[in-house]
Amino acid sequence: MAKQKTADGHMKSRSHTMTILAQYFSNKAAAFCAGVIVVLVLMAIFVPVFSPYSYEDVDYTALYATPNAQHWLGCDAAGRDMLMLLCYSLRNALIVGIGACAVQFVIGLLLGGISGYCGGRIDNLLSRVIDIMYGFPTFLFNLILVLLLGRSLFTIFFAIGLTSWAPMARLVRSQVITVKQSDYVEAGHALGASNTRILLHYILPNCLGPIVICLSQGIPAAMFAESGMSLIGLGILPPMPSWGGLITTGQQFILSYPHMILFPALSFAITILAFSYVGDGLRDAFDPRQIG
Amino acid sequence: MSETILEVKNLRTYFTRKDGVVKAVDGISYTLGRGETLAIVGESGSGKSVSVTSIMGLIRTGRHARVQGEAVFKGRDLFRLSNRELFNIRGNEISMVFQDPMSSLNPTMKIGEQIIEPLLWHKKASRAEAKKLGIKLLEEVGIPSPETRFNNYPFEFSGGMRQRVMIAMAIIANPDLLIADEPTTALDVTVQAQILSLIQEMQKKKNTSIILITHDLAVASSFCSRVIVMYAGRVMEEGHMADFIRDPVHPYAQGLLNSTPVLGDARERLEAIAGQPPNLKKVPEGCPFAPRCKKCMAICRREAPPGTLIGPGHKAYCWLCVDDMQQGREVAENA
Repeated sequence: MAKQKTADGHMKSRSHTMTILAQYFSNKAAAFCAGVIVVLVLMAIFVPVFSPYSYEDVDYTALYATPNAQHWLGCDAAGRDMLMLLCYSLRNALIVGIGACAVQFVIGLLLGGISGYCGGRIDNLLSRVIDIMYGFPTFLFNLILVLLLGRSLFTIFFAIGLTSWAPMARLVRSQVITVKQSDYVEAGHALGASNTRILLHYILPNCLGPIVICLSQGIPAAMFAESGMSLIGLGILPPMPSWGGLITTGQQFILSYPHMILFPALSFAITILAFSYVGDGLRDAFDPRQIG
Repeated sequence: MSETILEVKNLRTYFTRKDGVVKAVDGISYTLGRGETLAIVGESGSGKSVSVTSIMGLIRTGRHARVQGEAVFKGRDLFRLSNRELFNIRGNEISMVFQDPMSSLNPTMKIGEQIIEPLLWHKKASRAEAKKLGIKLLEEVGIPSPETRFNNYPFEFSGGMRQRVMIAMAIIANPDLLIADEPTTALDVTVQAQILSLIQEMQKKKNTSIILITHDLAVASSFCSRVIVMYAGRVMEEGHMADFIRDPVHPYAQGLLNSTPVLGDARERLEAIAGQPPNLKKVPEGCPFAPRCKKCMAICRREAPPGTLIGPGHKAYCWLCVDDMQQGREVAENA
């Protein structure tokens, strides 16, 4: 898959990244889910801009309204437009998911990288720190952090990122250790590469595959964590909507107004599934046995 | 001999493990002149590779590893240089070709980028000049359509081609010393001959000194002017290749030569050296080869033999030669 004949018959080479992308998009389900995510992101950004409603607008004539021409997905108990609520939930979930992953990535990369590259006592010490984080009940730690820092979108993703970096750090560490011992890193040293050079151009690119996979799988996990917190009422502050909050209210009306739980649950499931499939697709695409 | 480029004195590389100290290299010394080709031969695990990676400073020293001795390269002891000075020497004045071409290239970097890297690091050329030189070198080492290949990734190359790339990478900065660590072991015989003649050609052009590490005496004898035979981290015999092939003195060297197949030889079986190389954690007292040696004497198991000169530039570490000395030959200083 890596070579294409150009017009003059020479072998044209694709870059490593292009090869992986081609591999990724040859997986139909993963490609479809990448499309779904693009649509979701566009919705989260643009629907609130063009919609006549806002998530705070209350329409007393449309309490518990079922889907109709004015409110396409109906309204909630306070007469708020369901589509709007869902778009804002999606927006919040995306911010939390990506933000938490960014926090997780920075901490995991730094601690795992230092631990793996330096080895010896530093590795021993940092590994114990990672072990402790691993052993800590994440959800509880999240709640404590949010209560300490105050409830806001920022503190929530920060708290989730701060409690979920241990697997990332451990992954980075093991990757760095594997790559560090490879022949090409030794060859790099032998050819006079400096330590920074080795880290940035030899070790990092060769560790990146599993890290990207871990990140893409971390996004739905962070969304789950946020919804869980909203579900018990410690997530995003109302009136800002969140899937967890919507599902909690919706379940009270599950028999009388099923649309109030159906739509949030459905959109939540679609989002999580799409991200998970993308993660799986990336994992397969990065599998070296499929390249070349 | 011409100007000395590398002088290794009493090199010892020890690794500390939980169950003992591995004496991978245990006091070896040699010198290498400009333009000279030295072969280091020996079985697997005899310390050939470690001896050169130690010189290159590729062994992480610390609690678990120690490198002692001196390696004087163009008047500077490599073991006393700062990291910065070492970076300037590696890939520039000394470079290395590794054993396994399949795993010794960075898979995420274009071939061309990797080849010209040493030049850029050592600020010997601008990017444009380096690229021109890189393409020229790729052509010289026999890569077809080098302009396109320059932008390929390692996985698009075969093993033989990758080894050519490794050689191009090692010689691009015009090193004074090239260390080739079993450069042809992973390749088939025809490619092996091509790669070796490539190195040889380049050596003629640039008068580079070469250390060739190999366990293949046939390769070594066609290629090198001098040879060192290593066993269990020590030198057993050293001398000019021609003298060595004609008249090996050390029983281990004789064994090695006898176990090398010769095309058209009428003998039905090759002679193998009985037994296994020693565990480097507990190398036997005295001569390390004694337990496997057919001519082993009582003294061999008690005391390590001193180096004995048995001809011009031909030295052996064996008690048999020391006996000869008593019949009137001269003895070298105990090394």
